[in-house]
Amino acid sequence: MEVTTARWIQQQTKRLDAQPIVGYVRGDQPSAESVAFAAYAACAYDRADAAAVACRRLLDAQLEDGSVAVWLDEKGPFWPTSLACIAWRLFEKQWPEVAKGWCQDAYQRGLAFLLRCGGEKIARNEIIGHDSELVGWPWVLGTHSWLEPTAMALLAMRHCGYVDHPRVQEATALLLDRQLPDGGANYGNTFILGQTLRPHVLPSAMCVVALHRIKPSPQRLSNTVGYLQTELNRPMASTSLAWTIHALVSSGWDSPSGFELEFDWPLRSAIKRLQTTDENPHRQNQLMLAARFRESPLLDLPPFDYVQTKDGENE
Amino acid sequence: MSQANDPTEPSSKPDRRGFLVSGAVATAGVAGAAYWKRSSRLRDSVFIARNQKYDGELVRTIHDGLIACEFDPQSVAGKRVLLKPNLVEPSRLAPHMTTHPAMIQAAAEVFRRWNAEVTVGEGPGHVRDTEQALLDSGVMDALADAKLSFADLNYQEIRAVENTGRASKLKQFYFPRAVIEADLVVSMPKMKTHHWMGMTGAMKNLYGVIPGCKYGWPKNVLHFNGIPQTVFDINSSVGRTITIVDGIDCMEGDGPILGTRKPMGLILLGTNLAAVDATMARIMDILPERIPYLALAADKLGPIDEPQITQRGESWRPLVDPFLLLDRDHLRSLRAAKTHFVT
Repeated sequence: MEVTTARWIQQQTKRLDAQPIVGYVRGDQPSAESVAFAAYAACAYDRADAAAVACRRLLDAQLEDGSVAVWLDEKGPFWPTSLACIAWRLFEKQWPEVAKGWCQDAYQRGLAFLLRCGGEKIARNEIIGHDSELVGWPWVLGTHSWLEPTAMALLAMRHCGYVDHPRVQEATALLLDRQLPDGGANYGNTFILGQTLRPHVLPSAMCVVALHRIKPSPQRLSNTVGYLQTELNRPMASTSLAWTIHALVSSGWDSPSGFELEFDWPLRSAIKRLQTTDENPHRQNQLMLAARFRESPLLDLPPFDYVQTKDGENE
Repeated sequence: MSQANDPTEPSSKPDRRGFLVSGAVATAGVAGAAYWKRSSRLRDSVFIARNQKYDGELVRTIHDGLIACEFDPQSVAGKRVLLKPNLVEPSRLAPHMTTHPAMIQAAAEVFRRWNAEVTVGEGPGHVRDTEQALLDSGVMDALADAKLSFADLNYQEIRAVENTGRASKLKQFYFPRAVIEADLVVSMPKMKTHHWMGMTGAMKNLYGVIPGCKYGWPKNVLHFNGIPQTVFDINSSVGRTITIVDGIDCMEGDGPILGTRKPMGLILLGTNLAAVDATMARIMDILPERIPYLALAADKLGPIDEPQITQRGESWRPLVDPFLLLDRDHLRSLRAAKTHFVT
């Protein structure tokens, strides 16, 4: 049966209301990232009860040091802390009376934790192409900074009002440094042993979203947007598509005509693909969120100035 | 703080059968140590088939090869078999980087005929969106065609299992449920060069059973603890394994991602991963004892010396065809000759 996006969203909203606490795989234990995305989707569709349940569950899982682990109620790694902070902040913005007294404390403790953490520096050498001394965030403490956890942390800092923190500038520098010459980025390597690596959709899109409304807009980011526009013409999986839609909407933010790309076909394709495999609420929530386009709360951010001029990016 | 995020630190008691048997106390250490002892005592067989094609009789080749290596089909009847292909970073531009879907379907068919319950599982090392990796590799369609279930090893529920190798300082590994519950893990690598290790094969392919959500993308915790050491440790800890190598369209040069296609038309398989990897190295004109993780594995996880490996099917010697290696200091000692290096 032909999928219509509007009807699918109607069904998904009911599902989200009924079960906001989900994991990566249906039936598995809840994961922080999945619950955070359920909270974003609930905010996006004005589902106060579902958003509250998800945000409360993240709060219950917050450890004494402010971190939130991948699997709720277990120890580390901490990287979803950023995503939990965004969830609490979005909830606070939308329902300030309900959030009073607990959301702000939760995201401030989460941000304090993140600001105590950083990736391990590696001395620069000719083998590795990126600036291995820039400090962003690692997936696991004690290892190097990588692109996606740094993008998540940057988004969290921007959403939670930490935009003036020096680490926002360093995280921005890191994301730009890891863009590939012809556009796009991968997990965080540019050149290895003299060869340029290939870009991947998801981390490329996450960079663009994390740098949403950056002023001035760096050329490297434009190349990455161009890469994503091309990739949209081929089959794209749910998570990659959700972030790509956010990225491309972001790229057309200040354009008088807005974004001009057609998202309905890729959205319907991704929805159809999900319907032929096992149900996956985590991916469904990500697509729901993306289907809000410009109204996605993930993009509800003011512009920010990038002032660092390392290797002449903005000079 | 570091303790809370350190995969070496157990969040629960190491428990191999924790998903299956409540209160079980059997650990991977028991299974792993038993396997280690058996492997170090016996000779092992490696089967090689040549002139293989993806649209050829792969089922027959794999079936005959396993029987030739004295694999007992009864040992998997009614049991769980996990096929672990290599989908580290699939790209439509480089299908020779990843295990071909036809190999996965063929292996599944063989084990299903032996009444095993077959699942395909992978935790791509560089790609966080596993659904995208399945799309780009063509494996998603293959799974649907063959009605095969897939276990996302990057995101599935995990449990701590003791590191029985202890070549690295890691005390345990977190393995996904599908790996812990599997009665047999079938490593299905691509025959490729590797720009750090020289080659990647059956043993290195098991990096993909390590969950990204716990170890990152790339699985940087393993790198920080030593690639050879952690390859050895994972292989020591994972339980019963065999391997079926996709050596039909291979990769040379700057593998495992950016190398060039090298058609070989081979399938290698065996019940001991170290023995198969050593044979594969010889065909690539690489000295197995110079590959750091094979050196660690020698006589602990399996034989790598030629006299200890019983050859089945084709002999490896006429098949030797040097794979280009990067002309780098750390790779130059991997072959006796000074030829077949590229910049």
